[in-house]
Amino acid sequence: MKNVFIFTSMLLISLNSYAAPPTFEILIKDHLFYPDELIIPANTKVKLLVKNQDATPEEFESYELNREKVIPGNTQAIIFIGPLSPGVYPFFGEFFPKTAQGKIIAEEEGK
Amino acid sequence: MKSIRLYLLMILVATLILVMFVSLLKGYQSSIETAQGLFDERLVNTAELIASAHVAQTTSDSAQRPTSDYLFFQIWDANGQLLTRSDTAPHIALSRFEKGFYDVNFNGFRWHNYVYPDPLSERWIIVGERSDVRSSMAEDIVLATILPAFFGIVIAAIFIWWLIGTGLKPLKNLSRQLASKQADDLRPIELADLPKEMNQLVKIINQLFWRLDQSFQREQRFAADAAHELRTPISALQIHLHNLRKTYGDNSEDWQVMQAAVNRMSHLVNQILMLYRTAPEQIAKKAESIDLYKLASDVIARDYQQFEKRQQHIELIGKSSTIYGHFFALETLLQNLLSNASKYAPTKGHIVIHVHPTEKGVRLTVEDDGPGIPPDQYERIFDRFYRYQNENSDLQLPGCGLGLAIVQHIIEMHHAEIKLSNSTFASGLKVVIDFPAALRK
Amino acid sequence: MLLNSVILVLREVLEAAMVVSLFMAFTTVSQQSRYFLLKAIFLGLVAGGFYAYFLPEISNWLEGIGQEITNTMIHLGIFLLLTGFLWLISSNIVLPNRLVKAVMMGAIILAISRESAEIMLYISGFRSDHFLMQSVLSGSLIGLGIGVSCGIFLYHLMIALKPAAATKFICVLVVIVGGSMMSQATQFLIQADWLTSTEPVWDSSHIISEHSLPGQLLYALMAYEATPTWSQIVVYLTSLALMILVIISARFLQGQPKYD
Repeated sequence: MKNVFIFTSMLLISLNSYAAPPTFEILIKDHLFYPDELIIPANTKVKLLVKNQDATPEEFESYELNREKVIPGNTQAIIFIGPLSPGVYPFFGEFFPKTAQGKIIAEEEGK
Repeated sequence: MKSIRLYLLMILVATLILVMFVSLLKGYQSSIETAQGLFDERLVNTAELIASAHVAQTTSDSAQRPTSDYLFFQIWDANGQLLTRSDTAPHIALSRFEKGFYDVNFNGFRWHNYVYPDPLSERWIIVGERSDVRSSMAEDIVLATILPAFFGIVIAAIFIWWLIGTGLKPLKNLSRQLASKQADDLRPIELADLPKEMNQLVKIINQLFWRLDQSFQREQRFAADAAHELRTPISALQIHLHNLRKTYGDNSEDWQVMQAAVNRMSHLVNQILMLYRTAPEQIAKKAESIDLYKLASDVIARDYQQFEKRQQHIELIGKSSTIYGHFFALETLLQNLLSNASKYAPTKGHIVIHVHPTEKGVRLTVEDDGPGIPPDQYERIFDRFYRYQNENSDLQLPGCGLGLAIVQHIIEMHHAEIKLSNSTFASGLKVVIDFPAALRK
Repeated sequence: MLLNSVILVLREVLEAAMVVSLFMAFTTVSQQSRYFLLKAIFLGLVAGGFYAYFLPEISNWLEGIGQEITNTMIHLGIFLLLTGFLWLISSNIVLPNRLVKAVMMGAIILAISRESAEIMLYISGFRSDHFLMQSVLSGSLIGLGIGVSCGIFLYHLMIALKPAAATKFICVLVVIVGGSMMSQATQFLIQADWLTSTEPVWDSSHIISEHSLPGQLLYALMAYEATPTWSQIVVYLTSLALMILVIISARFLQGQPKYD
C-alpha cells in the first residue's frame, strides 16, 4: 500500500518548473492590496510575489483559488496560482478582510 | 471523580453557546447585509441629491466643500471632464463610467463607490464612502444588539451553576446522611421533601437496611439461641460421662476419645457464644480505660497452667499502656491470641508478648516459635471455621477455627489494625496489633 | 473586527479542539489520567509561539516556500502519528502504554502548534493598536470559547457512548481527521508548486460555499474544498484507505479483535 502511495505521489510531483512562470507583483499597504484587480493570463501557471509593506502580518487567502499563506510584516511571499480557466477569483487578507480585498481576473490571451 | 454538577454545567453552557452562536451568526450576517443595503441606499440618495442640486451649476471650480473624511463626491461631464469634487476626492476617476457600485483603493483606504449617470444633466455623479467606516458602523449597530447575548451567557452560566446546586441538594443530603451513618446503624434514612426521581432510590436503600437489620438479628438470635440451647445438653453429657466413668471405673481409650470430643463440642459452643457476645452492637456502650499490660499479665497468670503443661517459656515485655476499650472483649482477644500461640508453639517452645505505647496508641505483639503460616494464608485465617493445616505436620490440634475470627471482630470494634508476619524466631508467627489511644466514636 | 477575530480564531481552534477532544474522550474511555494531554496542549502552545516567532525566516527557506513545506510536514506528521495511533490501538496496545501516550501527545503538539501560531501572529499584529486590540482580543476569546464548546460537546458525545462504540467512533473520526490532514498537506504542496496544479474536478460552491458556516465546519472536520483538484482527491482517498488498511491489518496480525 505504501508503495502505491509513493508511486501516486511521484506521479503527482511535476517536473515542469523548468519553464519559469510569469511573475506578478501584489503590494500590501495600509491593509490594502495594490492592485486590487490583477489580470493574469488564463490557463497559465503564474507566480505571485506578494510584498507586505505593513508592519503587521497578513494572510493571503482565497477560497476560489484554494490558497492560504501567512505573510509576516515587511516581508514578501511567493504564491503559485493557476493554470486557471477564465474567470474572476476573489482573494482577501484574512487578518483585515474588511479592507484587504482584491480579485484576480484570468483572461484568455488575445482578448 | 466525575461531578454531575460540573458535567451539567459544561454541557449546558456548551449547548447554550453553540446554539446561540449559530443563531447569532445568522442574525449578524443578515443584519450586516441589511445595514449595508441601507448604506448603499443612502449613497444612491446622496448621489441623486447632488445631481439635482448641481443641475444648474456648470462651474468647474473645485471649491472647498466641507465633507467628512469618509465621504467624497465627484461630478464629471459627459466628455469625461471633472467638473467639481469634494476636497477629499481624487482628481481622477477611480472606476469605470458605468452605473453601479465599485470597490476601489484610494488614499490608503478602501472606498465603496456609487457611479450614477444623471439623465437630466448628462453628468456622472460619483459618491464614495470609506469601506472600513461603513463596516465598523454596521458592526457597531449589530454588536449593540448581539453583545448583551454574550453577557447573557456568562450570567446564564452562573445561574445554571447555582440552580444545578439546588437541584442536586437532595442527592447531596442523601450521601451526607449515608456517610455519617455508623456501621451498625441500620435505621431507615429520612429526608424531607424527597424529589420524585430519588423516591425509589431512598425506598430501596431503606428496604435494604431493613432486610439487613432483620437478617442480622435473625442470624444473631439463631446462633446465640442454638449455642445457648446446646450448652445444657452438653453440660449434661459431660456430667453423665463423668458419672459413667466413675461407675464403670474403666479408663480405656474409648472413654478418653469420647471425653475429648465432648470437650471440643463444649469449647465450640462457648466460642460461638463469645463471638456474638463481642458483636459491636452487644457491647458498644461499655468502653473504659484499660491497662493492656496489666490485662495481659492477668490473662497469662490465669492461663498459666496451659503453658506450664507443655513446658513453654512465656515472656511479657513492656510497660503500663492505657487504651480505651472494652474489658471483656480485650480479655477475650488476649486469651485467644495466647492460646493460639501456645497451641502452635512446640513443647518447651517460646512465646513473647510485647506491650508498649506508640505515637498513635499502643502496640501489642505476640510471637511464637511454632511452624508459622505462609503469607498467602494470612488473609484466610481470619475466616470463620477456617483452620490452617500445615501439610508437613500431622499433628491434629484441637480447635474450631473461630479464635481468629473473634480476634478480628474485636480489632474492628476497637478500630485497631492487625498485621501478620514471620516471627523473629527461626520460625513462627508474629501478630502485631496497633490500638489507637482513644476509641473513635 | 470583532467578528473577524471570532471567525478566524474559531476556524483555527476547531481543528485542534477536534483532535484534543478525540484523545480526551479516548483517555476517559480507557480510564486513564488526562494530565499528559494537558501537558501536550501546553507544549503545543509553546511550539506555536516558536513557529510564529520564526515564521519570517521559515518563510524564506527553499526560495520562499518554507512555510508551505513546514505546514506540509506538520500535517504529514499529524497524519503519521494518527495512523500510528490507529495501528497501536488496533493491535490491542492501549493506555497507559508509553508509546500510545507519546503518539497522542505528538499529534496534539503538532496540531496545536500550527493553529496557535496563526492566532498568535494575528493577535500580535494589533500590538500597536490598543483600540482594535480590545475588540480583537474579545473576539478571539469568544472564538476560543465557541471552539472549546464544540470540543466539549464532541467529548461528551463520545463518552456518552458505550466504551466499545466510543472507541470505534473515535477511530472513525481519527481516520477522517487524518484524511483531512493529508488533503491540506497536498494543498500546500500545490501552493509550493511541488505538485502540479490542475483544473478543479468539480465546483460545489453553489451547494456548500466555503464562505458559509456549514462550509467552514466541514472544512474544520474534513478539509472540505468546493473546488478540489485530482491530486487532492487521490491523496485524500489513498490516505483514508491506508488508515483503514492499517486498522484491518493490525487487527488481523493481532488475531483477536479488541471490539466486536
